[in-house]
Amino acid sequence: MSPLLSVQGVTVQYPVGKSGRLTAVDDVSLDLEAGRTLGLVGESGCGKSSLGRVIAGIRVPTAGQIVVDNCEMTPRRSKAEARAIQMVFQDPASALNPALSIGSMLEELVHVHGLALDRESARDRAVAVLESVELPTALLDRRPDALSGGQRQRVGIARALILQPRVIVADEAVAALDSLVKKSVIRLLADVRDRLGVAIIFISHDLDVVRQLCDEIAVMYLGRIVERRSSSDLFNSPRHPYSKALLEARPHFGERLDVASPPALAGDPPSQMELTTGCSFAPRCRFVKDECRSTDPVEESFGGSSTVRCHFPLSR
Amino acid sequence: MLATGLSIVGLVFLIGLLAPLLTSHDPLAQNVRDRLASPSGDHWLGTDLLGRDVFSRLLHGARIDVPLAVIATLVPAVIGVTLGIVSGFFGRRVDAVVMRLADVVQAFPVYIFLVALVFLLGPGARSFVVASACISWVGYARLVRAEVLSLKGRDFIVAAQAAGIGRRRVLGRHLLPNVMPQVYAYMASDAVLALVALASLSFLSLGVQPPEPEWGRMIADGVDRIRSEWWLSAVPGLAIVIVGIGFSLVAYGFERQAARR
Amino acid sequence: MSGVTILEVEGLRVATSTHPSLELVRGFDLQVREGETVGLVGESGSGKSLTLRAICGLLPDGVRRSSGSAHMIGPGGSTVDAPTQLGRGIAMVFQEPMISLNPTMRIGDLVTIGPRSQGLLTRARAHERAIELMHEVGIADPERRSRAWPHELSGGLRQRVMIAMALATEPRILLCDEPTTALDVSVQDQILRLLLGLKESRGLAMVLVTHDLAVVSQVCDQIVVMKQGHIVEQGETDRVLHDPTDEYTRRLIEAVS
Repeated sequence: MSPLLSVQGVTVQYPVGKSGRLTAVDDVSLDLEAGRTLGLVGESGCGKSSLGRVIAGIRVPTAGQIVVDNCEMTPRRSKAEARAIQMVFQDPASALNPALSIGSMLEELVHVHGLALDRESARDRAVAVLESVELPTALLDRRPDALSGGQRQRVGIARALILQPRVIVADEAVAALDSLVKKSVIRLLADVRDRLGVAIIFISHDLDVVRQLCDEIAVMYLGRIVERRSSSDLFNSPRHPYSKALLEARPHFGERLDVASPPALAGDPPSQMELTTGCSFAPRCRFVKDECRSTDPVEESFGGSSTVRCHFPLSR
Repeated sequence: MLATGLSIVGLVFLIGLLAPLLTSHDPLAQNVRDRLASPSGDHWLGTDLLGRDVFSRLLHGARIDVPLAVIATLVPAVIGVTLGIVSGFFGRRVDAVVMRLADVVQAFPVYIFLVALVFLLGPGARSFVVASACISWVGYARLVRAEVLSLKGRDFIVAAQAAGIGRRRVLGRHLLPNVMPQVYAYMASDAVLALVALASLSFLSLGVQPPEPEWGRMIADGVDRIRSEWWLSAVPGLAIVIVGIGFSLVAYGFERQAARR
Repeated sequence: MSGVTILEVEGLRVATSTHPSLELVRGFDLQVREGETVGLVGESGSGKSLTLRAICGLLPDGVRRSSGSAHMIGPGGSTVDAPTQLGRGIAMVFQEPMISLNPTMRIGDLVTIGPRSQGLLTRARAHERAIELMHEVGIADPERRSRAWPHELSGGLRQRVMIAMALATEPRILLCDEPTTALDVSVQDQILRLLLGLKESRGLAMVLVTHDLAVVSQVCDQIVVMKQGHIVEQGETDRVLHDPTDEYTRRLIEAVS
């Protein structure tokens, strides 16, 4: 069965200054089946947001293509193509137009895509989608400034859903929410996935949040996917040293920090503009060997859609 | 604040509109024998150098000054907002052309430029509006462009485009409504400047031509008699100030609204 | 960590200046001992940041301390009003190093700006001190870095600079307002270890405001849970997190574990 979403050889580069080039995403490929959630994790500069934007059609890649249901998407999405992949944004404060009521915003989308024949049926659709994100229909006549952060985020999800997409890209969709609200929005996304069979790409810097929602996790470092595993496998036995470092670095509830032991990951990520020979993680890797510095590791698959890009993947 | 300002301006406008009903004297009717009369029961503000009733001229002046100030604000606003949006949204070449044009216009001192244009086009109300249009659009363009540039990257604009909404619609329905509150504030302040510019030009005989009862012209007419019949200049001057305050309050009211967003 | 109390906050209340009845912090009590780390936890709107700022006198416009007190307790038992001690015993570390560092000053000058403005350091000695402090907070190659501008540094480095600036005033207590929230998780790990290390090497007490319960459980001796301006639970971290008495605390813990 061919995958619902296929990302093929996507590269995103930005010109910097006169002759420099910053590589945000470096030849990334991945497939995703319908009804599955893939978490895209990594720290600043890993390229997860840029990749997410390319998938959602907001950013045109320097190279590569996005294929949905075996149809290749044009880089600048047409109106019809825009329906296939929709995005949920991070900041509830700026993701909604302050000048429009929720209802106007939703009905406009229905109208622009010809999904309803008259105002009444457009309104019905707006009502239906608000109900599906567990919001009262009274909110249709309110403006975003009257809603809480959690409510605004649900509206953001509703906006993505009203076009009946096949794929949703959530870019740090819960990062700006309080912990109690986070849980309910994550639960909503899971519900949406189960009910509608939508594939979700969930971009986040927070591994614990990703674990709650995602079947699989792809870890990115400096523009590349360094490991892709099922959530439980990644948490139990990470194979890439960076994945392991991330898992160790995150604050563990209930455990005191042992100052005597060194930090999980020292230093800062290197510049995305300098081309390095060898593995991009070598300068900071605890397990680095000579070969790592001279040769770039290739992505290797093992078991299903699991991959790792390392010369010496950690064993269990 | 907004309400007070609008009331003041509205009231003056209404007075101007109803002027023929509020006074029986013809503002243009001269009566040289009865010139420079003091205020009395018949002539509430006396008469001017040519024996015309000052009160009547004051009221009729409102029909000239207020609408002209508004028009001289609206025309450059429409031009400037349009250019500003196009410049900010589409960027690059369009932006470069518009901004360089703005730089050229702004390089000239406003009043000198205004006077020169009016001189070239011939004095009168129409020339004043055209000259204002040529000069004042720059402020709107820069303001709107800056707003658009900052809004362009906001998630809700990106989201609208990603949802397949065409550029023209994004401009009109998503960008414009978020830009307008600041534009309204700017327009109201601009109206004060337009009013003063019109009065100044007319004072210099380059604006509304006599015998029309424009307030600036009236001030000029009364300047020589300022020691004795001081009200001939003072009263129209006061009228300008009052309308100016009205517009300023409107501007302040809009500014508060825009800030709340 | 001795048992001596160095900061005492009693009945602190913060309200808006225009409407004194609109209280944002409704009665806050806290005792911090020498070398103790206190975690101040809550969701947005809980008042935790305002409480911290009220203690050191950095409240924003439109908000003021309406009643209650905050005192630093000196060696002889003498008390002095805490807001007067900012830069003289109390130091604050902010969340967003990007906007908290003056972009027109080089790092080397920024680090010692506190003591220099108080006339406590000569120019010559200031540079030496800056290098020492940068070393203490783990900035590699401090000589070269001291000439850098804030925008040239990464988030983690900027936060280290902020901590160095705080240490330059020889504080007994650090007030930290979400110091790691804007940082990557690996950098957060480094900074938290740095702060704990300073607690041990300098006997520095700390009040750490955060929304992240896991951070508190890793780093803090005492925990204070706030909700809508009130303290809902307070006590030894291990005890509270394993055996919470308040329902809200329980829900917060559930959301994390």
